[in-house]
Parts: sequence; C-alpha cells; structure tokens
Amino acid sequence: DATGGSAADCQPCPCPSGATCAVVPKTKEVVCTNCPAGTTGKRCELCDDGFFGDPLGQNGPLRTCRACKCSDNIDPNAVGNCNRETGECLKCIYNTAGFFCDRCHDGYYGNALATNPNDKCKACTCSPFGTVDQQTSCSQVTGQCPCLPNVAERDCSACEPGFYNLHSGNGCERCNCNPIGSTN
Amino acid sequence: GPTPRPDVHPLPPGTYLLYAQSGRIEHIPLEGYDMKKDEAKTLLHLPEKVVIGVAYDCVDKMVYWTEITSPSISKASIHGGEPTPVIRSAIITDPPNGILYWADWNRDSPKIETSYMDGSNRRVLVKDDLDYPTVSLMTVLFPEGTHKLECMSPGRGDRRQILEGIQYPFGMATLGKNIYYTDWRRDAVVAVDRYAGTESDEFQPQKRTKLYGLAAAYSQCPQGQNYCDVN
Repeated sequence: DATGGSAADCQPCPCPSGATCAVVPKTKEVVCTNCPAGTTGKRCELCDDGFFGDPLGQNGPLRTCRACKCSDNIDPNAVGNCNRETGECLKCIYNTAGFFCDRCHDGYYGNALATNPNDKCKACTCSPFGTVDQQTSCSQVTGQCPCLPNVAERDCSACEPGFYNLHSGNGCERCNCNPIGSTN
Repeated sequence: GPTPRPDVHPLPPGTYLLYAQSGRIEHIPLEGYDMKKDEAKTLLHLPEKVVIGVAYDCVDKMVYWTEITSPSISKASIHGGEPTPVIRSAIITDPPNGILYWADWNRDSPKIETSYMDGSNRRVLVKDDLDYPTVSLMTVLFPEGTHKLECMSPGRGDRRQILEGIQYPFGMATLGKNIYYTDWRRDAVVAVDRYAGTESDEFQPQKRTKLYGLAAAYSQCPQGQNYCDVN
C-alpha cells in the first residue's frame, strides 16, 4: 500500500524471479500475476495443466514441472491428464490403469505398454457359467479366467473333454458314458 | 479492397475476446475484427483453478466458465465481483433463450448437451460421429483428423461443413465474418475469415502455455442471426 506513508509501504512480490504481483482488494491477499512458464497458483507453487512437480519445493525437494508421464496411454487432447503435484495419471485410455497408465484395467489383460493400441489391453470376457463366482477379471498377463472344476479355455467357456453341463454354474460333470458303447 | 457483405456489420465499441489460460481469464479488445494485441490484459485471476471453458452472457454482462479441479460451471460479472458457482468441458450460452450448451469429451461417448441457465431441462443434443466436439454460438464441431468445421442448427439437427484446414483448435468463438479459435499447436488465438476461408491474424500471449476456452464479449447483444446461413 503505497499510500501508507512509511518506508515499508511497498514490499517485494513474494513470487519467483521477476514475477509481478497484485493485492486482492477485498482480502488483502497477495497473488502473483505473471508466473514463470509452466507454473501457476497464488505463489507460482503449482504446475500448469498437463504438467506435474513441486516448483517451490513446498512438500519436499524442489521438482520442476514436467509433462505428465502416462505411458502414451492418455489422450493429448484431454485436460487434467495427471495430478499436478504427484503426476498420478488420472485419465488413462485404451483400457489401461495404474499410476502411469502402465497396466491393464481390471477385467482386461495384455501389455499396456505395447506400441499399437490394438495390442494393448483386451477384455477378459470370462464366461459367467464357467468362472468362479462369475468373476469378470482374469490374469493380467495370460488373460486366464479362474475356471470352475473341469472347465477349460482361457475364458472358461467350455467343458474339458469327457465332461458336460457347463450351464450348471458349478463346473462340468463327468459324461459317465459306457466305455463299451462310446466311440472315445 | 473487397466490399463488405450486406450481413456483416461493424462491431460496436467495447467488444472483447475472452480466453482461458493457466488459471486466468484474459481479454483482448477488438477494434472492428482486429485484435488489439498490445492491450490484452487479465480479466480474472483464479490462481488455483484450471479454467477450461469460457462463455459470455451479453444480457447480464456475466462471464461463465468451467474448471476441472472441482468440475463445475461458475460465473462472475465482467465489471468485477465475486465468482459464484452455477453446474462441466466447452460451454456456450444463448442468453435470449436462457440456454447453456456444453461439449462433453468423454472418450467413450463424446456428446454435446444443453440445459437451461439454472441447470434444469438437461438433454443430449448430438452424440453421433463426433470425435472432439467443441461448441460455439453456432455450434461448431471438430472431427479430429479432418481438421474441418461443421455447423449445426440445434433445432433442425442438420450438419454442414463451413471451413477446412484449421490446425488444432480448442475453444472457438464467432463474431460477424470472423471465427476465432485457441490453437494448441501455436498456443495462440487465431482469427479466420469464414467467407474467405483464410487465416487473417494470430495473437500469441507472452506466457507460452495452452489456451483453453474462448468467447466473444459483446458490448451489446447481437441481434438474432443464424450463423449457419452463409448466403
């Protein structure tokens, strides 16, 4: 407040090198108005959207703002792709999940880091009849669903040879064919 | 030079472009259709927010914006005053009819929605054949990859191409013969003459970071006109 009449009326802006500041008339709060590139916030303490870090080192060591690292599994057109401080990815696509969009979403399997989106994460599509507790998730790597007794296939959709009645929901039953009258 | 078309009116004094960048809503005064770049200034500081969409209500002189840190629509008077919360992505207003429009960039089903200004009567307007929709007073759609602008009347639902070869638009505003958009490739506000179909100017703010929503703040509300009509 330059009209106060004392030598301490004007104080330096509490902002990083050279950024200008202003006082909010109502709250008397000081706000930096021209934060360095990639930073924002009242004291230039935050990273811009699409970047993460701790530019003033408020919660630990100083980390300059860097672009979100999400394994190429985000939409570059999207906003709010990662947490501005921690960098946790918030908008994983191609059915990926995890802090860096580096694994498949529950219910999907494959390699989240594959270069071609079509090779990334595929749906488990576990058969509800052949899967334990009708689970929808499968092994992240092989895609194997947890099958009921005597049930076969990756998606638990068929009975093992010599078994029948997948739709019982309790696994498949032995055929009990008379070996004399059966072909195999 | 070329004679102005009969439906192109000079803008009244005191018209601005508003755009969002890095937790601020900035304004650029317009002189005619020209951006007075030296006089660009900040209108509103929202230092902890990430402001995305911006719209202007010329009847009540209110600025509306969306922000993503706590998904919402807020408003404040262009003459100053406390921001007040109102409803989420690109938004536009239709003050004479009291209607809001916004684009939802939900990747699985992008859509354009509408509601009254108090948030009631919410419904989906467009959901087919959209990749990255953005909306403007005439409803402009941007199918990714094709880099073209389409126009749609909310009542009739017909879509028509009006411009081709635009770069990487985020926010968009129409004003008479011009279309202005914020471009993510250049971090700039770009002016395009939509009759000539050519870029006429660009403004690159000092701060080099993404520019989001864009709106035109008229000093007087424009008379009812159908932006889809070119002829």
